[in-house]
Amino acid sequence: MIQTPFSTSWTWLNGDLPPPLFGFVLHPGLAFAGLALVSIPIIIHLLNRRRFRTVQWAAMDFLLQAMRRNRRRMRFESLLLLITRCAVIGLLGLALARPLGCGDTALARVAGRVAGLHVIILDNSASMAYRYERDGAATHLEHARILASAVITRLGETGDQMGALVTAASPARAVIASPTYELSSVLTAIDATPQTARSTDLAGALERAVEIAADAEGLPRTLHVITDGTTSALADTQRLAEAARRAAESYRIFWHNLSAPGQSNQAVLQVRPDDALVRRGFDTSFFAALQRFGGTPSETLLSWRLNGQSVGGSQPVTPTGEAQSVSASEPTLQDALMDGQAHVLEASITGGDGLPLDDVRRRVVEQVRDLPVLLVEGGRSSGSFGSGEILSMALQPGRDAGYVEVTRISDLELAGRPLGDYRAVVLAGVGNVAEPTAQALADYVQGGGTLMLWLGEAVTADNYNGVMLPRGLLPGPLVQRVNAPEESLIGYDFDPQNVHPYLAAFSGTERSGLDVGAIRLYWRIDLGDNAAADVVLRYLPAAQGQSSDPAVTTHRLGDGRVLLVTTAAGDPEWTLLPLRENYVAFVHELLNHAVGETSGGGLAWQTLEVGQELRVPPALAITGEPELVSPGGTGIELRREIREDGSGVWASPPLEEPGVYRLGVGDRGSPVAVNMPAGESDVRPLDEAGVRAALGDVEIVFMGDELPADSLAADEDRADFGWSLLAAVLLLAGLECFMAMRLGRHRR
Amino acid sequence: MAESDVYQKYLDPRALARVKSLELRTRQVVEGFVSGRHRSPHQGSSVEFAQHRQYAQGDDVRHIDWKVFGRSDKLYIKQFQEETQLQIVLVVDASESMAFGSVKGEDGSTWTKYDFATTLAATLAYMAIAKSDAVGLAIFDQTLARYFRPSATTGQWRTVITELQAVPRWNKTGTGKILEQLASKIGRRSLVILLSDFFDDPAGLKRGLRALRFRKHDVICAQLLDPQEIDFPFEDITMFKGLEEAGELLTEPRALRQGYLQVLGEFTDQLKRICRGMNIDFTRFNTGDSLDVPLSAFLAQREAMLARA
Repeated sequence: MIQTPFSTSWTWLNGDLPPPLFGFVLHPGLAFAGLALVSIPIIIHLLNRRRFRTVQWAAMDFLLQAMRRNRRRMRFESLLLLITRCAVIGLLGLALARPLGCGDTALARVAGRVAGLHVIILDNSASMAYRYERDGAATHLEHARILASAVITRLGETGDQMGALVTAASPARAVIASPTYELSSVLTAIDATPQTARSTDLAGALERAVEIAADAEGLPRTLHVITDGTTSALADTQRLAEAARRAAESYRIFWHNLSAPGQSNQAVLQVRPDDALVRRGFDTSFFAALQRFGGTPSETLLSWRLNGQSVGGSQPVTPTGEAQSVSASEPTLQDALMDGQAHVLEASITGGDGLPLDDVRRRVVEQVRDLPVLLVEGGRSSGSFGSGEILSMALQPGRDAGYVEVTRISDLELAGRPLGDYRAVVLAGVGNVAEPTAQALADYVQGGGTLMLWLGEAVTADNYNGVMLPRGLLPGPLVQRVNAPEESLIGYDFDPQNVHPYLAAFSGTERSGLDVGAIRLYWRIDLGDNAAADVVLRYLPAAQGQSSDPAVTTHRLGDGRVLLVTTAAGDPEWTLLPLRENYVAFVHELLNHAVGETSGGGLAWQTLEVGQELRVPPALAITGEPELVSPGGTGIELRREIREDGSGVWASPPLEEPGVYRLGVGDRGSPVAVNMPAGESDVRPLDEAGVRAALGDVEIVFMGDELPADSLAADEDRADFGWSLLAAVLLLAGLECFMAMRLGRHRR
Repeated sequence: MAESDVYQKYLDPRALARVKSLELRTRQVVEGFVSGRHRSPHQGSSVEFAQHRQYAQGDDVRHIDWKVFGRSDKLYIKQFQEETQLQIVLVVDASESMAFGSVKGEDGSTWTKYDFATTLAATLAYMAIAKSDAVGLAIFDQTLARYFRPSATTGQWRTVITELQAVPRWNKTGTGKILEQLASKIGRRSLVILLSDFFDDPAGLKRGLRALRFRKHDVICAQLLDPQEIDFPFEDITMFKGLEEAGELLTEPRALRQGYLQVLGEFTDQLKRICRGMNIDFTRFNTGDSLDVPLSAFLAQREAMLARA
């Protein structure tokens, strides 16, 4: 609480410094102006003494006699009037400056009107669309609007209150960022707050509220957080706790939780194929991840649709509290996929819960028949055996075998090669990469390509660290070559029960070939604090006490991906891995996942969440200006963004509507699936202890959907004496008029 | 416009201020006043029939009543009882304070208290002489500047007019002393009409009035005050420069107004008490008002005096 002269403790009288004027009035400038203008009556008085008219007068004796009799009275009256007039102006300035006093004094209760800033955080995220399963029930957001409107309406009755509004759908937005006395505009904004399908950004909303508080220094401030308080909304605990701590320093926080402990929801959280790439000739199963949040599990029906057409019948499922993957029971689903075309795969469950938005989930998939790969060899021995020979055979065992179509070239042939023709480029033991070649590779990856790097004997740290690393083609500098101890091999730190998603195919496999020593030599790479580098596999420490070095890493670069294997592809002096039984599967899994996660490969850019922007990858051949149409048929304007490297990308505004959008590029069309953020499906509310813990144990007043009746007039509120002083000014002005008339100082 | 309103314009100070000649101004007042009373100043007679008496040798044949002779063949003459001739002395204050005036004429000329006094005096003189009263005139400031014995001749009115038109010297006032002088100068019992603002020492004034009353004169005190002196309507800060060397005062008139009016009221009350104590009529006139009020008052006073005589 800000100390003021009206505080009961009066500590500033006990030797402490008095509170600054800025903490005493809202508008110190007006207070100073009022004090300065006090001199006006005195100046007018002095000027009048210098400016007078002259009258020849006969009855002078009477005048002098009257003067002698009334001199003292006239002086007293003049002084009284002067003081009154000065006081009127001074108090007027002070009143306009809005002096504030602590509300716990009797004076404040009698004279002051409660003033303050009330900021409302209105959660309009997807989970606020929850509706109880009864006829005529309103959604949480509709309740929230009513409650927020009631809060604002109450403000108009309690004094001079300012309002502001922040919406909590991600990203949080200050709808009314400047505190306003126009409460009707706040009401209008509340009514106009849309129900979104976005996730919750409560931390951001609190940060916006703290920014707004800066505009109301010295005023009592109240923050009304109206939300459903779900688990997902309070998940970002570290940032949230920090934001809550700062908000608690600026506001008294009322936490209105509109959810009920018994509310429940079941949702389709994910739709995915079990392979990173759906390949012709390889059986791929499609899974839907289902989960029930709260309530008792009950049977529902799962249906699959492809491009809007039902595939097979509905299958009964019973989502439980744990996420469960349910595969499509229709085996011909993959047969319906046409090679090279994007399809919208949709899994839905029958409704009956409070949040229908997440009862359906869509994904854009394609089936790949050919995966063109450019394999670049760094060194070739006599004949045709080079540094990529074994890798080439692993990727494409025969001329017509498999889906990977390998083009093997020497590093001398790489310069000027059109990389856009390949889904992936593999450098196998390429020792010296020229600057233009490195730049071409970087551009290729930025545009959505996949680069797989295998090191080896020819590789030099100076060249890679000087050419590849600055362009982001390495996750960190190459430090040194590490040799296996004499007569032994280095193994992988591989746990079949805890594998990286790239190696999901080996999950639970006991004899995967990755669990025995196979490496003789590798490059140690220093990832440092590169958080973007994802370590897929590590080596076991070469000796006790040594660090566990990365064996396989992957990182994103632009719209593409780089996958680094720190040993050689097939050089027996470096690795014996090709001799292991799962070598072929190993390299395919790495390639599939790397390609599948790039915009140029897996169509991941065509499956988005609400609130994300659609960014059309540069690798996509576009013959005209792209057009985007929403599920409702509304055209959405795309903007052209130019990157630092000069390449351009078409981008949409954040997409708000869940469903299937159509992207038209020239004479072709492509679907874009937009889903509700999966995190919003967990509608189970946290209890008070959970909320308090998530907010860093700051002081909160927990409310339901009722108004904080007593709290609005709580003792901590400081009263605004502005109106009372204004009333005093009017009284003084009236007194001045009365005195002027009574004392003969008025014009007749 | 009603007839009474027509004649009022001849008595309005704002209209009279335009007339520079006191004689013309006086005639205008008389015309206006008499028209208002519906009586001609030329009607009536100054003598009244008393009885018939048989003609005797030496009687003026102009007084023989020929109508009686025609009926009775005897000569009778008409005997008339001559109206008691009243002697009026008009005493006009010509001190500097009488030069004050705030009433503006229709042409912008100023109507002072002295203008009001001289117009009133000339009118009274005219009407008195018309009724065969003898009229005297005294003009004074701190000295008795001019004094003319009462006379009923028509030339007397011309004299009065001439003297009243003369520009005064605008000296200070010495009313009491002057009245004492006048008391000794006026021989026969007279009606003394004192026209002044009486801005003077009340004690001296009292002595002068007592001297007049001691000589059995009937006295009318007419205090002439300007509207500004009565209302004191000033608003802004004003420098008052006193006439008759009374000094100056810079003050806020709005604050002083109440006190001034109180002092003025007290002074007027004191004058009234003095006059009442000596059986003297005292009336205060606003020089901004029409002249018919004081004229009517004076005529009523004259009738009362004649009745007493």
